[in-house]
Amino acid sequence: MTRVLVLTLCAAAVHAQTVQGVAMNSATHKSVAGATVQLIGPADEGDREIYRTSTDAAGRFRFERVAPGHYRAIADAQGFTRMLLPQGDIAPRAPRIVVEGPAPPELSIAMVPASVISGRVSDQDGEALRLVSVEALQYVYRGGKKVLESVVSVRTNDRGEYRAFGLPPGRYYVRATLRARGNTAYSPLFFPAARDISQATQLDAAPGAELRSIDLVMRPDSLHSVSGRVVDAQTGQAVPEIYVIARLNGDTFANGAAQLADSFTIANLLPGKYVISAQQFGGGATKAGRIVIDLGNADMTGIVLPLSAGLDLTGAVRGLPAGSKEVRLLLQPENPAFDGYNENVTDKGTFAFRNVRPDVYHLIWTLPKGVYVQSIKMGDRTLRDDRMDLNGAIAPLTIQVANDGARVQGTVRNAAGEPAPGAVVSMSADPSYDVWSATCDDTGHFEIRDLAPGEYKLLAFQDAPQGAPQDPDFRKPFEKSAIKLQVFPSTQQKVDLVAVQQ
Amino acid sequence: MPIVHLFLGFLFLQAPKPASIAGLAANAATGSPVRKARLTLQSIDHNYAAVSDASGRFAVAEVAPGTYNIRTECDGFQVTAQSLKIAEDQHITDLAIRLVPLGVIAGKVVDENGEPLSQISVEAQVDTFSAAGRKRLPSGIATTDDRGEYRIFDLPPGRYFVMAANPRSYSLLGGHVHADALEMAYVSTWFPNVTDASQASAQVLAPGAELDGVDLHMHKQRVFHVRGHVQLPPGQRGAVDVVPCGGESGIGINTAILKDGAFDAAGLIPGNWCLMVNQVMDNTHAFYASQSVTIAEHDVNNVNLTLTPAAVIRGQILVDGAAPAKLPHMPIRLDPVEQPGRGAGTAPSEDGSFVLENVAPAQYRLMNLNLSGMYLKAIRLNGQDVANGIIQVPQGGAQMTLLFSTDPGEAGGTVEGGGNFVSAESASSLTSMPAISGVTPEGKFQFRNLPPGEYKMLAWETNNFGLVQYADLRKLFDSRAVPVTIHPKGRESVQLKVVTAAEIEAALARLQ
Repeated sequence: MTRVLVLTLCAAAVHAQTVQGVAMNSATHKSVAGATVQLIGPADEGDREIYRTSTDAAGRFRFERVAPGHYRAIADAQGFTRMLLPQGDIAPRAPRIVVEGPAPPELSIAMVPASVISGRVSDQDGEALRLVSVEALQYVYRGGKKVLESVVSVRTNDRGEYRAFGLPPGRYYVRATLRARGNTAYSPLFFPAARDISQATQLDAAPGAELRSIDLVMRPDSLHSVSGRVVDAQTGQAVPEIYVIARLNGDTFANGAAQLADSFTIANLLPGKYVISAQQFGGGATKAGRIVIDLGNADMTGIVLPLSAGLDLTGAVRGLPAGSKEVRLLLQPENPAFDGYNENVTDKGTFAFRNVRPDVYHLIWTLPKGVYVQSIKMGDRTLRDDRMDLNGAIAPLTIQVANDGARVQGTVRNAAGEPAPGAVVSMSADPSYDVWSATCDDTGHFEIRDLAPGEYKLLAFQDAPQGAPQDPDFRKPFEKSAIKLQVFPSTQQKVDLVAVQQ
Repeated sequence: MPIVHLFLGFLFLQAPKPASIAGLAANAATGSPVRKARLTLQSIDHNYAAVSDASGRFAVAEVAPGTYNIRTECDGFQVTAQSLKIAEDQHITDLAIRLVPLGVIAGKVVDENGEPLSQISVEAQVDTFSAAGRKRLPSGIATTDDRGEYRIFDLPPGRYFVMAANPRSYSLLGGHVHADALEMAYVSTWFPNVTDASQASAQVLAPGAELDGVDLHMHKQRVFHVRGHVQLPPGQRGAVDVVPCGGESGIGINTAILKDGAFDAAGLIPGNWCLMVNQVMDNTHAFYASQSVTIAEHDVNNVNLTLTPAAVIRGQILVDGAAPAKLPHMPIRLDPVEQPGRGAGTAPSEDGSFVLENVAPAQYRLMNLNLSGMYLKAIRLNGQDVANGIIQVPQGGAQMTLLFSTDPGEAGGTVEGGGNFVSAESASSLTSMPAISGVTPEGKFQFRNLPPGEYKMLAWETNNFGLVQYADLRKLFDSRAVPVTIHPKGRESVQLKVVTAAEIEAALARLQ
């Protein structure tokens, strides 16, 4: 009875609130006039509540009579990075606000000026190539996997010019794709003149800056064929009636052909690195094979693709608390074009991956709360990290877990000394089997549990792309400003961090 | 393997002496040679390709005799196709390919302060004609960049209306929107800076021309909401289409119906707006609602849209008054008179019976049925004759009878002055379109399947089929039309004088 009464009183007391603040350019710290500001309620209960207004000449906005609740505040204007992302997601850096009790604090929305990449695409004679798709690409993290994703995609005009604008500041690859014009075929081309991303230049797009003259010259390629034999690795005999696929590495382009009797020919392939694969079902275990070829400017013959039953990788997880449930392991191939393998760990702590394709893998685990991975051994050899090459001799795995992990907590602030809600903290050690990370709550507070003892580097990022703080390449340029922390077993430590300036 | 070789050898023994084709690709407007033009020569069993060199010349050394379709493509030019017959050992050295250069319209879109507006969709619209009348449709489209610049290229020569479309940047998220009392937004703007399509002025684009500086200034205007409620069946989500009543297409909006049935269409300028819900929930249940509202100077609230379930039409086809024993495959389709609408179609069974499901209660026409030896004589809905071919489907559904006759008449003849099409229009027609026949290069035409009745015939010098269907244009040449009476199974001979391209052009100018 008392409880009901209190709730009613609270609701009455916080009936209508005023929310106000300012929209600022994150690079110049000047206010932004004429921006559309929205307060967006959570989507999980019914339809969202959305409040919308514009900033005045001084960049200020004011919402009257906002219903109590949790909101994200976003501001959009010409020339700034969108805060409302495709599919209705809200940018991680959008401030959070709770409307309840006394008047909510003054809001400050940082608007990040967008970058531009522009240039021209021409053919080998310097003549404009029109309607070429040009993409600004970035590595992002999707479900723990690092994938190359198109952030902005535009097409060249009749003068061969393109202009990719509205880009969130960051590092980009630029790729031009034409495939074919008339009877002329073109390979996708990375700036400055690379077929493969490993030879491409990554461009640094600063807030509000324009990278000009990012020009690409596309040279015609002729189409070639790849021919050869699919054989059984054990017998050396050709495998009849099997379908062979050639997939361009890191691309969606694929072509295939059947080997009816003792040979196959896959036609119409652009030069490039291909994964040639085939899989034989039935008659017990699946036999599969894949090889990577580098197709140059000529037909390729005499390919031999051996099919073999995969290998069995067995092992045990030691040191798990009794009754641990849902302990899972994932073998994730280093080549993102390939599929991985999932296995559950039995209640005895054992596991067995069957019929695994020989390849290079990363081991990914789901462990119960309270433990961390202390060591991974293949046979007697201790692995330095989670990477394992299963192409050679293999031995059973031993994964030792321990429960004497440490706990680190603290608060992240921005350069102005204000708490940084939504900032991402990463903790990395070298060598290490894992990278620990946490996202700050509405007060800028974070907590990381079950840390392996060791010497760590701590970094906090406020506007990093999702998943990027876990990437060593992304962290590297900031590591000189990282906080070093020695973590001892079973301890609790408190660390306050300042988010790095990007 | 040896068998294949033998077979090929046999072919070579029989092969005639090859011919050859060479020529010059040139710009139709300037006469200058065109390089990198891509030619494909295609006959039933042979395919050749060539590319013009720096002097515009191309050559195919060995060509099997036959009739070829020669298609030429080149960046910046209209695709051309022509037919060519080449005999054994014939060597053509001077085939002229004339390529019509495409043009460009470019400019800048700025706001009231002269600041660039990015991500604005700019359309180069042309007038198109059809039985439904004149409609302005985009021929080319581009989006402004961060400098507000746009560039629409590959435009054929013609008259263009340039429109910057109303940006809808924040309609992405659905929800209960609480907006400022005074909402302002940019609205669709035509060159030269008018927001009313009828005041737009046309830009004449010559072949290969580039019109620069076609700039548009967009101004914010008061915009309003239409809010209301639709009770969807439990668990269903849907959307309300809000379009100008009877106006231009493409500038309407689509707004989601929220879980509680509320909808909120924002950013609407004053005028008459038609609200429509027209959707199939699953294969057997469709719902329909339609209502018009007028926005003057305020938001329109509390619009309740009542959903009515779609109707079922049960029908029967009668041929010469009797149910057919074995009706040939003859899909029938109802096309909505008003857009946006949803059609309905089915394939009748062999005994001529059919069921049209999920038909929204609205007005339809039966799509032009092209049946040899048969014509649609009458449509009956619930026992009543449908006089002008417009079928008003009632809410509760209906019984429909389609009566076909097997005694059509024929009409044929010659056209003086050539031309491309002949139209035959009858006041008693059940379709909105006249019968149209092509004209042969020798000036002959032939209608084989005309329902008996009184017709007016006209011959047209235009490649634009839609223009021949355009009723307002035909009306202007009414005095020139030749009256023809078609009798059951009769054969009429008709002599026509062509309406020239220049006369059509002048008439269209009067219709503007």
